[in-house]
Formats: sequence, structure tokens, C-alpha cells
Amino acid sequence: MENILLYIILFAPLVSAALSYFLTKKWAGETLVGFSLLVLLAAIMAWFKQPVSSGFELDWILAGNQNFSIGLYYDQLAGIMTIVVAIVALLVAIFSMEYMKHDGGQPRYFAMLGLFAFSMYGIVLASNLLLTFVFWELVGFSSYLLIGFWFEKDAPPISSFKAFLMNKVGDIGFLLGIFILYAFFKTLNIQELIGLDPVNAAIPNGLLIALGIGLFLAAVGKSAQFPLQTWLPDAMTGPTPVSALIHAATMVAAGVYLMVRVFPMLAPEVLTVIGIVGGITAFMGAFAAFAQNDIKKILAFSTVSQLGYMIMAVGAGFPVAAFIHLTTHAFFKAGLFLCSGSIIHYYHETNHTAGFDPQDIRNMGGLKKVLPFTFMAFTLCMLSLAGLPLFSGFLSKEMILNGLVSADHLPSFVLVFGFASVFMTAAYMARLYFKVFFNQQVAGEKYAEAVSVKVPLLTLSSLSIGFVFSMNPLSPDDSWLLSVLTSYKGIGIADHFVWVPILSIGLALSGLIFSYLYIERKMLSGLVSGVKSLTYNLSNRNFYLDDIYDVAFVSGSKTLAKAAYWWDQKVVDRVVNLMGKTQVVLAYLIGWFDRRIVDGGVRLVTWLVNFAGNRTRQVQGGNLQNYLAWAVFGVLLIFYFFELMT
Amino acid sequence: MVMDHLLSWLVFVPLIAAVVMLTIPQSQGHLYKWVALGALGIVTILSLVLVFSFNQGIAGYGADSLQFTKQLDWINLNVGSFGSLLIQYYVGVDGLSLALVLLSAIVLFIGVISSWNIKKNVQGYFLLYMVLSTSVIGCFVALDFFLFYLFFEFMLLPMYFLIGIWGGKRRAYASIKFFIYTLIGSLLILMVMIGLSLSVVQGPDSTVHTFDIMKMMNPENYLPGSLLALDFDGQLLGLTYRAWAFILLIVGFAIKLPAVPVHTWLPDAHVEAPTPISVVLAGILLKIGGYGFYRIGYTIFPDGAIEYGWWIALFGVIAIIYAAFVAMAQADLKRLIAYSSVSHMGFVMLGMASLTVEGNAGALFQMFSHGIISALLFLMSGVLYDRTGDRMIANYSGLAGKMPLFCVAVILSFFAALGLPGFSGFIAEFLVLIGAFDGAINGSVVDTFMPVLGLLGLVLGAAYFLWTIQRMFFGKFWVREESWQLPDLNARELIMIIPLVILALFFGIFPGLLLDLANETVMGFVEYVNTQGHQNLELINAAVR
Repeated sequence: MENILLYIILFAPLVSAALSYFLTKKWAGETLVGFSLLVLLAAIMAWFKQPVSSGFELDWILAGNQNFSIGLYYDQLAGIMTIVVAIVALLVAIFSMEYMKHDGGQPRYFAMLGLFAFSMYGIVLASNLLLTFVFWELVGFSSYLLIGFWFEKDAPPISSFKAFLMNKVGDIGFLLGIFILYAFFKTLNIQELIGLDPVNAAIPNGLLIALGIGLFLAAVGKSAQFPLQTWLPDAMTGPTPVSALIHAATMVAAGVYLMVRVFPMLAPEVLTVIGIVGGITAFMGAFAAFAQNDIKKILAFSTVSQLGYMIMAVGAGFPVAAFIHLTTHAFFKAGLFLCSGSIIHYYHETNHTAGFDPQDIRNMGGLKKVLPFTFMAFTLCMLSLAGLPLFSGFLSKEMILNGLVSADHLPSFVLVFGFASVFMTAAYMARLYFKVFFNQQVAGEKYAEAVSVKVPLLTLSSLSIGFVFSMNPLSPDDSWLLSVLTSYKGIGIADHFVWVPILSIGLALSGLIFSYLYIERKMLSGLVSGVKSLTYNLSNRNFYLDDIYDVAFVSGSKTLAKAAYWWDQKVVDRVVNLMGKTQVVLAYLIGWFDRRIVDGGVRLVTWLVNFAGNRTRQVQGGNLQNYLAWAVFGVLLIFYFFELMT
Repeated sequence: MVMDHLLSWLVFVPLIAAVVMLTIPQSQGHLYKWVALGALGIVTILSLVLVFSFNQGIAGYGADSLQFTKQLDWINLNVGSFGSLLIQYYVGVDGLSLALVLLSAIVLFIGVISSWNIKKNVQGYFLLYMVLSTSVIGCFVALDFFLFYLFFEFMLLPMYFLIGIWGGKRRAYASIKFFIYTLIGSLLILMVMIGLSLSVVQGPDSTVHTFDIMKMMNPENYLPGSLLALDFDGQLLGLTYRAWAFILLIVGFAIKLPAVPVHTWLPDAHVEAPTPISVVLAGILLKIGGYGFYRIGYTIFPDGAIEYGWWIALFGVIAIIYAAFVAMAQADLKRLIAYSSVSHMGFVMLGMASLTVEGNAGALFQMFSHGIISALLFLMSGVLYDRTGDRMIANYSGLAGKMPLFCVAVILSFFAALGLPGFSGFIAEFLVLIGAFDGAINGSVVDTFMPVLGLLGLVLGAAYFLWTIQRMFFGKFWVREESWQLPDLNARELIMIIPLVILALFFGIFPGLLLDLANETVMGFVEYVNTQGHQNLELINAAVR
């Protein structure tokens, strides 16, 4: 059993899900925590024990002589990813035990989390694209269930529906990519495909681009890129720990992970598209985060923006930078979400005013004293997100920005978006930070955070420190992740530009200071209100994307559906009914004809016979004079006849 | 003895049960359903025996690759100088029919359980149900065209009465519509059958005219210069008689499938039919249309398959998209499910027309998978209808809180229907689309835009199914009438639903168990249609010119 560790990582969460749902209902949370711990240990052991590029293949679907196999594959990429997912999953499970302690649906909740983890490890470990796709869809399914966890409320079912459908749009691209690869290479094994070098193989250029765009579309759906990003903010209607795990650290990162995996199959034209889409997403997300008042929505838009960074890095040709940012982002963003969970939980527990929205930052303030632990963790994670030196976010963001500068196939506005978003990220985070934690007017009493809240927060915020990823936290090139990933095909280390970190640190600091001055010192209000009056609605409504989709796609398909149904009823079916009716009318006509004409003819004949009979009957009336008269008449007739003959 | 005549037993056990029912007096009315259940239990076991003793290694397609065959002369008519006309009792299975026999047994068995609460004229109901069972299974094993046609026609009668007597409010309209539609289809098929019997003889020098489908595959068995022979140079409206025959067959079976635009009997029939009859109708009867495409249309006229495959694929794609849109506009849950069936059957046409092994395996798999999943879907709508007598989507909201088990069942079956991996529907749709795409790229008769549009059908499927879940099951609990009692699933319903869900999951995770049974036959079939079809076309073109 050389691959036993891989099996454990993959199937332990599924077993846990089944147990939580059917057997250990009372201990559903504990079950998941136990199994998650097991997975984490297995993932760490795999890192040391499991040989790189190992795995196995099984036959799955045999059609003719073509075999669609499935299998698992382990390399450094998968290794790091499993550890990251396992850490966040474990911490979220622990956190959920406190957060969901009053909820009656706990078995269901923890079972769904287990199902999600199973699907996520599947994506990470799958050796071929078919199996990746299977788990890809299952991730979408478990995300659907988790977003809609509180199904009795109005909003969650709608946003879960939306999330699944938008992901499905992306999945179509994935399938298209798979079809193209299969049609030309008759294999879906990722390593084999990379070996066959699709970019330089004899594929028509149009299909090569379609292949890349298709695969990228999958990532656009799952990683919430423009123009499909609008499901992610809505997905915040799910429980907050779910948002931390799925919609910050793992599921949404799957798209980036896929791009990193299939990077060698992407044509240069496709990379340009990817870079542009990433840049637009990074900017739009950061922009939309400004005018939100829901704490989770701010973080969601921030996630959209950071995912844009990763996609930008892929487009620039530096998938490893994207992957490292994925790793660092997973920890600090999960940390931020769990902090927001801690805050929401606090308001839930203490404020029972009807109509009070525990997620609205306008209701918050002074939490620095109330939730000191959360405050500390939030500070660390936020600084990491802003990309300040000594924090993990700095390392990965520098790699991406350097990559952007050295990529000359991308239009320059992508680079501008990249730097502008650094400033904006710092600014919107600081706006949130100062509103929630300072702003003393609405402060409450100190609240004791539970251990199961403290442990995840402590862990995640310490993983946001730069030293975790690099001995020299000022130099991205010294990161141990880079040296681990050197064997990965497609690695390229960007040129190092001295001005890049200086500029980005400057932008980040000025963003922080800007918001500090505006929120805490009440300065710059003239400037801000001027900008606000111009852009508030655009930002608040996320560029009206949802409204556009409502008109273009939702109403459009509903109208089309109605039209199709009308056509079906009034045209297709009416023709059928008309044919039926014509038949009936025709039958009546024939019936009439039959009765009146055919039968009438028959009756005419009988009437004639009858008439003639009646007339001739009188001949034999027994009257002798008549007989004589007829006899004479007959003789005369005969004579006349002979006369005519001669 | 059973093994010798396994297929005959499979076909006639329900008929024997029907005879037994005739001897049971009305006063013992509760026995009818037990007899029916027993008979179909035996059929299910026999079909499992059949599957397990089937040799899946036999390669090729044609008379030699058939298994469990029984071939007996039945009617031998001497028609003077014309020769003689031979009708055989010829049954057998290969990879094309095996899975469908199994499917029939399963769905018919579930259908009996679902009929448990029938109150009106129980004897008549189960008698007709038994006759239906015999003719359905007969259709899948018959290899003589005449025998096939006999079973095919015989399905109509019980179906007409089952809808017309035990149906809903507009049952008279629905049943007559169903009857006339299907009858027209049958007439088209009958025309071709007569034409074939005039042209095909037992061997190159024989004068014995035959209905043997396997004989009809070989061009040498056609009388030279006869109406449907390859060298016949007559044409009708610019098409050869063989082309016309193929088109008539395809239209005839397309009505049964049903394909757009001859599908409108289906929603009406489904809405009016009682739940078990809907289950059987969607689960099996539609597959006879698809099976007819394979066994009759493509097998006898491979040249037509090549020449008109593009159009068949096109109509398949139209069905996928069009029916999905129409489904989205439905207010009645059962109508929505009925249209989703039309959409799913489009995949069968697309996969088959692609003439690739993947596509054909996918189309066969889709027939099996849709049989299971559509049975589930109609059971779901039946659950609601049993409780409230109402199926309007807008009359329900937030059912999940009241009926959690039902909600889980609905979510599972809807996601199975929209092709979530892990369920059998995904495998089928994946194979169909990848086969069609592969065929399009590598020079088969289909075009790339077809599978790409088929992909769009997947999104639409997700849209209307999930929209339905969101409207009916989530949100605050509300139903139109306060008096409606909504208890959760009972034991009888669970007995039907759980096995079907497990089957859909099982074949979604281990598709090989089903695909391997058919693999050799499908390979042989695709090979046969491609080579024989092109050969025939060359000869036909040479003759016509």
C-alpha cells in the first residue's frame, strides 16, 4: 500500500461526512475535527514519505479501445496544496463547533463540510482532467449545499442557485477543453499531456486557443473572475466558517490551481487574455469593496480582487508566483473571515434587538477592547493582505508584481491595475479596520472568546508572518517554496526590480494612512465625498453586473423559455390538434357523403323499385276489363315493334 | 430448462401471470398485486441471471454475436410464384439489448410497487400491466421484424387503456392523442416492414421471403432489382427507396423516442397518466424508440445512417436545447419532468448519430441511466400528487423543512438528472458529447457545433432543475391550501426510491459494469455501420447513376 496516505487524505473526509450524518450526530463536529486532524497528519507525512511524481491509475470507463482512466498523482504542488487545505479545513472545523453550537442542523453541516473537503482533495490529487472535472463539479455541489445551508431564509437558496449555475457556465469551458484534448491526444492524463506539449503539437490554432480559453473559463467560474465573479459576494449568505474555508481559501483557489496545473497547455494568446481578465478582476474587486457595508461582502470582494492577482500572475507567465500567493492568501484570508465570524458571533450572542444586522459595519465599533484576540489576529492578517514587509502577503505580492513588470506581452493597463489595486486593497481594509475596531462610540464590554475561536485565529495569523515562508522576509526570492517548486515545469523567476517593492510598499502605506485619516481623523472628507458622489453606486452595485445579467440572461432565458413553450403549444401542438380536428371534420364530411350520397343513391334505387312495384302491382288487380285492355295494348305494342323492325 | 429458454420465460412470465389473474375471483382482489409483484420479481431475477451469464467477450455485431437465441419457424405462407413468406419466433440478446432488458425488469418491478394503492378496477389494471410487461420485454429481445412489430403494436393497447381509464382529468384527450401519434409511427414502420419482406429472402438463391433482421443486414439477401435492394435504380422525389425507408423508420421511432417536433403527445400523456404508468412510460417505453433506431433503422440501413446521420444529430441537439427551454417555462412539475425527458433523449440521438464508439456507448448508457433517473423523477412528482392532488410548482414553497427526507430524495434525483458526476447521467452525457466532438474533429458525420450546443443544454438543465428546487423546497414553508397534509416519505415510497438512487449512484461510480457488457457489441456495431454503410452507399450511387 504505497499510496495509502493519498487514500487517507482523499477518503477520510468522506467517511467523516457519512459518520456525521448517519451515526455520530451528536458528535458531528468532533468527528469532523478528528478526521481533519488525521488528514492533516497524513498530508504532512505524505510530504516526507510519498515520493514525488508518484501515484496510480485505474481503469474507469472503457469505450471501445479507449480507456478513460482515473488516478491520483502526488508532487510538490499537490503536497503543498493538501497541507494548506488540511490546515484551513481543520481550523474551520474547530471554529465551526463554537460558531454553530446553537444550530439544529449540525450533522448536516459537518457532513457537508466533509463532503466538500473530499471533493477538494480530489481536485488537488487528481492525475487526469476527467477526474479533476468530477471533483470540480462535486465541489460546486457541496458549495451549493453549504451556501444554501440556511434554506429557510430567503437569500441563501437564491445565492446558492446562482453560484452553482455560474460555476456550471465555467464547467462548460472545462468540458470543451477536455474534448479538444481528447480528440487530439486520446488521453486526459495531465502529465502525459504536458509531455505531449499541446502548444507545439499539430492542433489548428483556433482549437488551441479554444482549448486554453475553455480551461480558463473553468477557472473564471470557480475562481470568480470577471465576468462571472458576482456569485462570490452573494455566496456570503452561507455560514461564515464556510466562507472562510470555501470562498476564501480552497474552492475559489481551485481555479488558480487548475491554471497552474495546465499552464504548459496554454497558448500565448490565451495567456494574454488571462492576464487581462485577471487585471480587470483585481481592479473591479478592489473597487467594489469600498462601498460595501456588510463585513463579509468586503472580504468577499477582496477575495475576488486577490484571485485576480493570482490569475494575472498566470497570465504574466509566472504560475509559481500565483501558486505562492494562493498559499499565503489562503491563510490570511481564512484568518480574516474567521475574525469576521468571531465578530458576527459576538453580536449574535449579545445583541438580540429585532432587525439588528450583525454583519453591518455601520453597527460596529470599538471592538479593539471587546474582542482583543480577534483584533490582534485581524491586524496581522490585514497587514499581510495589504502586502507590508515582514508579512507573507508581501512576499507573494512582490513576486506577482515583478512578474507583471517583466511580462511584456500584457497591455500596460494590467500593470496599472495591479499597482492601483495595492493602494485600494490597503485603503478598503483600513476603512473596515478602523470602523470596526476603533470608533469608540459603540463599544461594549469585554467578551471572552472561546478557545475554539482563539486557536484557529492564532494559528492563521501566525501563518501570515513572513518568516513562515522565507528566512529573509524582505526578499521573495529566498522563499523556501520557490526552491521546492523549482522542478515544476513552467517555472520562471521574474527579474527583480528594485523600484517595485518600494512603489508597492509606498502605495500600501498610503492606502492605510488615507483611510486612517478619513475614518479616524475625519480628514479628507471633501476629497472623499467628491469621489464618492461619482463612484459610490458603481462600487456599491459592483459595476451593475448583476443588473446587466438580470436583464440579459435571467430575463432573456425566461422570455426565451416562455417563447419556446408558446411555440410548442400554439404551433407544434396546434398543428397536431389541427390535424386531428381536420381528420374529425373530414370524417364528418365523409359520413355525410356516405349517408346522403352513397346511402341516398341506394335509397333512391329502393324507392324507384318500390314505386315501380306499386305502379305495376295495380296491373294484377283481378279486374278483367283491365286485363283485356292491357292485352290489347300489348298486342298493339308488338305489332308496332315489328313495324319498326322492318 | 429455464436456462434453455431464458428469454422466452422473461417475455412470457408476465403473460402467464395475467392468465393466473383471470382465475382469481374479484372477491380476492388483494391478490392481484401480489401476483403481479411475484411475476415481475421472477422477471427481475431472470434478467439478473441473464446479465450474469452473458458472455461479454463475444466480438462483432450480427447474427453470430447474439446470445441466448431461439429461432423457430412460426408462420410459413406459400404465396405461389412469389415464393413463400417466413415469419419466425426469433429472440436473442446482445450488448445493445441486454441492459435494456435489465432496465425493463427493474422499472416494471418498481412500477408494481408504485401501483400498490390503485383502487379502481384492480384486476383490469394489473392484467393490462402484465400484457404491457410482456410486450415491452418482447420488443427488446425480438429479432424477427414481424415479431418485433407485433410486440411493438401490442404495447399500444394496454397503454391506451391504462392512461384512458386510470388517468387524470383530461385522460381521454391524452390517451387518444398518444394512441394516434404512436399508431402513425407504427404505420410508417409497417410500410417499411412490408417493403423489406418483399425484398429480402433467406439466402442469395432462396425464394423464401423473411422478416429476419439479421438477414436484412446482408445486401446479398436482397432480391436483385427489388424495391429496397442496393442496385434498384428507381427514385421517388429524388431519393432512393432505401433512403425513404430509412427516413420512414427514423420518423416512426422518433415519435416513440420522442424527438422534437413529434414530441407533443408526451407531456400530455405524462400529465394525465397515473404515477406508475408515467414511470414505465418514461423509464422504458421511450427507450424502445431509441432501441428501434439501433436495431432496426441503423442495422438494416447503415447507408441511411451515414447519409442522414448529420440530420439526426441536428434534431438531437435541437431536442436538447429546445425541450430544456420549454421545461423552464413549465408551471406543472410533471410537465417539467416530461420535457426534461425529451431533452435527455436528444442526447441519445446525438450520441448514436456521431457513429463513434464513445458516442454510441454513451447513447446506450443514457437510455439505461435515463430509465432509472426519470423513473425517480416521476416518483417524486407522484409523492406530492398523492398527498395533495396538485403539482403546480407555484403552490409550494419551503417543503424542505416539512419533508426533509423527500427533499433529500428530490435533491439527489434532480442532481442526478442534471448530470452531476457520481450519478450515471454524467457518464452518459460525457460519453455522448466527447464522442460527438471526437467524431466531428476526426471526420465523422457530425459537426463540432453540435456537441458544443449540447454543452449549453447542460447549463439549461441545471437552471430549470435548480430553479424548481429553489422555488418549491427552499424559503419559508407555504402551500396554497392549509388543509394539505404533507407527511414525509413513507416506507413504501422509500422502498422504491432508495434502490433507484443507489442504482443511479452505483452506475455513476462503476460505469464499467454496464459499459463492459455492451462494449464489444458497440464496437462491432459502429464498425459495421461505418464500413457496410459506406460500401452500400457506393453501390447505391453506382446504381442510381
